[in-house]
Amino acid sequence: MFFFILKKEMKALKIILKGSILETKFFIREKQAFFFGVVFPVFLFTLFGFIWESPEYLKFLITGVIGMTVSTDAFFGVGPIIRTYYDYGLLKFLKILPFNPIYQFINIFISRIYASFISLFFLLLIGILIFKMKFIIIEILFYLAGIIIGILLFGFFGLWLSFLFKRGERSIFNFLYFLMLFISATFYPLEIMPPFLQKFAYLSPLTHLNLFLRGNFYSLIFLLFFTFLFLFLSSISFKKMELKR
Amino acid sequence: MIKIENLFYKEKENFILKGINIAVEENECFALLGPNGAGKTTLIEIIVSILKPTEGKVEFFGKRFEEIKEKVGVVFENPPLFYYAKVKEIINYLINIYSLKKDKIDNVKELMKILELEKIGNREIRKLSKGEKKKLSILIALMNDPEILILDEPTSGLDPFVRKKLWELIKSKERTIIFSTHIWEEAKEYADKIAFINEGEILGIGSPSDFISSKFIKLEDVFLYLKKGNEST
Repeated sequence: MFFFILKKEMKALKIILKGSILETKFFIREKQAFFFGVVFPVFLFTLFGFIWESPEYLKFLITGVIGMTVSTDAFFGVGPIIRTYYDYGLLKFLKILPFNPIYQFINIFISRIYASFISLFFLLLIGILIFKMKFIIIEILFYLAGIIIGILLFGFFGLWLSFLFKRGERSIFNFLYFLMLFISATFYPLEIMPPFLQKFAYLSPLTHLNLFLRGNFYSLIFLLFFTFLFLFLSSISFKKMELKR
Repeated sequence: MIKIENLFYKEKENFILKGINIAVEENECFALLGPNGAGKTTLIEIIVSILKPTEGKVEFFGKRFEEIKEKVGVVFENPPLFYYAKVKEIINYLINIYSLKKDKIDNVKELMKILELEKIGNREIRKLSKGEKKKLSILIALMNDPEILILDEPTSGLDPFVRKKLWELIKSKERTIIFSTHIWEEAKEYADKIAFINEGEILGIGSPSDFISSKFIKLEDVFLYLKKGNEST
């Protein structure tokens, strides 16, 4: 019995390992996703870094760019992709394969984590080599943890919205995303925003992700709250939809 | 035996399937023959658990599809596959997932040769023609050497030469096969038993020889004959 369960777990692990690498290859092959997930954040950090050279701002900026990258990768790269799988009938194909289709969704999440790790690697490299920045281990650990939690949070957020709105109504995605980006202390501190906007900022999950990336451990509570909320909402809207024929 | 019992499927207010009863014996090749919109694809999708029936059940040798899906190969009419994957990538991925042994991997390579997929191994699936996608889908269905094949219009969109070659491949081993088609000649040539399906109902089931008669010159003649028979009873 124990060996049977172990065999099953090993198979699941193999599916996730191989499948997430395959999904990462798809991500790299999709030029637009690769540009916004890797090239653009690195370009933005380099450009802004040269404009504002202050070491304090550079630390602020790099975490903001990581937050932006993670939220873009997951918000646009998980939910809408799963919705496309659904629309084009790919779920049919997944259902006849000898594993639960849920593994393929996990693979998409993991592939976005890999993509954000690639982006983080280049950001750190530029920070160290060009701007002579120094990072301590605990900062890197916060970045890595922030990426994982952020991908889950924004992945479920995007998944929920993908099943809530039809394909033609996707402008809501862009609107929500840019709203979050500008009120969430991504490129400038909350303190310089008008007080009424600061209150709104705390409703945005991206604010808490940025705060966490900057070492505020208590933001983790809000991140977990948002993650479970969106997981709950996305699973409800997913169950409501029938498989497309 | 694959048993389909009293199957109904309702979409909105319309019944797409109306009380389908079919029994397919082990190693039998069973054709679902009918015009477009007859309900063949819906029936196939219920058989492989993509859709849930409104009423009735499907059993594979006493088991549910989910319990034996490793032993079943499926081909859809418009094969949905990973669009950004290359042909070789998807094949290697599935070889890993199925944990195929060396002899089966050699078999997959042989199938690739027969289906002429070797030449397009590095091409992305979204760039393949409909026929190439169909061939890849058939390869995927056969790669685990399944005991059961469920095929929805497996040769549609393929030229007669490739069609013949594919059927030789499909029937190269004893298997239980259910396939849908709208081509009378295909059903006549390859099926042991044919079910005529129209507007979600089975009009008649029999061996091809039951329907090959001087009375039936065209497929329409068989349909008219069966329909009249059903209406009078």
